[in-house]
Amino acid sequence: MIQSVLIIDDQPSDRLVAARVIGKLAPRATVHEFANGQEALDFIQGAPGFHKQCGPFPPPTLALVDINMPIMDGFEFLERLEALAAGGEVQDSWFAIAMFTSSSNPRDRARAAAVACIKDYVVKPLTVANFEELLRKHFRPPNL
Amino acid sequence: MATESSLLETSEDDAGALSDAAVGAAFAPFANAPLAMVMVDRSGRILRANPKLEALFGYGADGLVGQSITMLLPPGKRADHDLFVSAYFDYPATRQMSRRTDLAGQSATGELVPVEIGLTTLQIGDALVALAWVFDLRDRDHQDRQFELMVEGSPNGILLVDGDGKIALCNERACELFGYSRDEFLGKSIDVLVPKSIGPKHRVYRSNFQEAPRQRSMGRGRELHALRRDGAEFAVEIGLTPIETPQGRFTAATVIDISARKQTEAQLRQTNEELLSFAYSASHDLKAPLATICGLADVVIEDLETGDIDGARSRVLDIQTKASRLAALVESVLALARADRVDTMSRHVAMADVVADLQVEFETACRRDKVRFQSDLRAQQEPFVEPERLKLILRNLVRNSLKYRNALQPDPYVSIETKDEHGWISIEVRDNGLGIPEKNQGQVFQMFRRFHTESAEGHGLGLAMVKKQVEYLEGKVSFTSNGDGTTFQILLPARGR
Repeated sequence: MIQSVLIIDDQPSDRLVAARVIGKLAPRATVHEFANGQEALDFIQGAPGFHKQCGPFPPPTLALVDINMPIMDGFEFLERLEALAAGGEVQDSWFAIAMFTSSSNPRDRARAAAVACIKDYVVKPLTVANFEELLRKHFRPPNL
Repeated sequence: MATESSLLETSEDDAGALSDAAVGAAFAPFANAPLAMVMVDRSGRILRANPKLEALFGYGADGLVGQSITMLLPPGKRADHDLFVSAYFDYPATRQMSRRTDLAGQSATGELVPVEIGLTTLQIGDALVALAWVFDLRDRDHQDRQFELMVEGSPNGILLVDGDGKIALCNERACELFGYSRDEFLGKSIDVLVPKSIGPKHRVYRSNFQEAPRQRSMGRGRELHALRRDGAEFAVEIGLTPIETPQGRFTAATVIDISARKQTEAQLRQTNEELLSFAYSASHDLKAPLATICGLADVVIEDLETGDIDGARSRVLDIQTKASRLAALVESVLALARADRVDTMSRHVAMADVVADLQVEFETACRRDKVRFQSDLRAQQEPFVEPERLKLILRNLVRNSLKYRNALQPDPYVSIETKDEHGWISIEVRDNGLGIPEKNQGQVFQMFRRFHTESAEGHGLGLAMVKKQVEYLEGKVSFTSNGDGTTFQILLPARGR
């Protein structure tokens, strides 16, 4: 059952839409919103469960990561996250990361496919249908 | 026509041996030959000439018989001719008359006739006579000249290469392309025209071609380069045609310099690349707000179902804002596309007029945002530009200054300042606004870049457009920016009146 969702997106409206859909399908999941990669990284490094020195963070977790964001974009965020995981500083093995973008451009898809930790690619907006699909693919029942 | 009845003046020792009837009978087969033919005795006297020959030299029937053959020669060649005739009779053979020299006859009207002459001997009774046939070369010369003109006038380099790979013939264009004079070129190995990196391979290619020559273009599927005398390489297309001649097998190579075409291709590729990246950015920036709008609409439906009317209203307002921003973006993309086609006449533009126009244009916005619009025009020279392009540039810069004004600034302003600067006219648009964050300064002129996402509207096309237009006007654009504001400087070339 999904426990928490990180929405990393600079558009407040997109975060709102996503949070609404999540609230509908996974009402008990905790939703964390971040306006850019840096904010999310700060949170992850300080949050219990992600960081090796902290206690358990409620897994499993889904992270929706936008591509274009100011300060730190989605790809840079994932690069940093992978570096932290490689250094054993965070455990990313148990969270499903989905690229969350309005772009269906093959170039962006290819770029996302090349990043090892990206498990899925969701074209905005987040809808009941595509969120259901995400849950079905990455979180075992009885998630729903 | 040489008639049977014409009597020969008989003299000399062998006169008796040549009866006119015998001569006539011997010449009969040639009388109506399609070649110009003449029969001459040992003394060089004309025994018979057929109508073709008479016509060639412009004589009437029997106008030649009995005359010395030298009358058909240019005066300069007559003196020694008797010697040649007697030498020929001493060592008779069927042959072509001196292949090396340019042979010419002279017609009744004194005109020189370029000819080729074949010789043989006939035995008539005891006497030996010479039979000569004469080709008129004027027709062939004419064709040769046309062919030569065609080869020389060709816009392509043409080389004729012999079996050993030596240049046997070349046209002017080939010399020009490769940087050799004709004298230097002839006899050179074709290998000197091949880039060093290909050299050894080329010898193999060449011998392969020699073994199975056929007309084809060289290096199918490969980019061919040729080596100039000065060591520079240039892109070429080369066509090969094998030619068989009595002197052996030659290869005609047609060389086309395609470096200009290659350059155009590269430019085209780059433009295409830019276009792709523009389409990519544009589609993203057009799609993103649409996706948000769709998502928000779902939320509104939900709000309505749960009776959250205030929530629904605020979402709808959000949708409205995003939709109108999207409309503005579409408008800007179209404006950018159109900007490429601004096509007015360049003229000297009075900066005071341009600034006055902008002041009127931005009056309302300045009043609303409480931004002071000022100018300080010190340049003596006036830029020579298309006024619409200049306005487009300044309009975008002023709009940016207003957009990124600092709300905490007690006296926000935007200022247009001009001055002369060694060969350039400097136009500065200065403000005391938010400034551009240092980490973003390298990306300022990229499309779809915005550095104050939350604070300002806009779509990041303005400065990309400014750069494009300034470059079009052969100017330069730069900026300095910090927390106290931003100054954009446009330098336009000063062109005197």
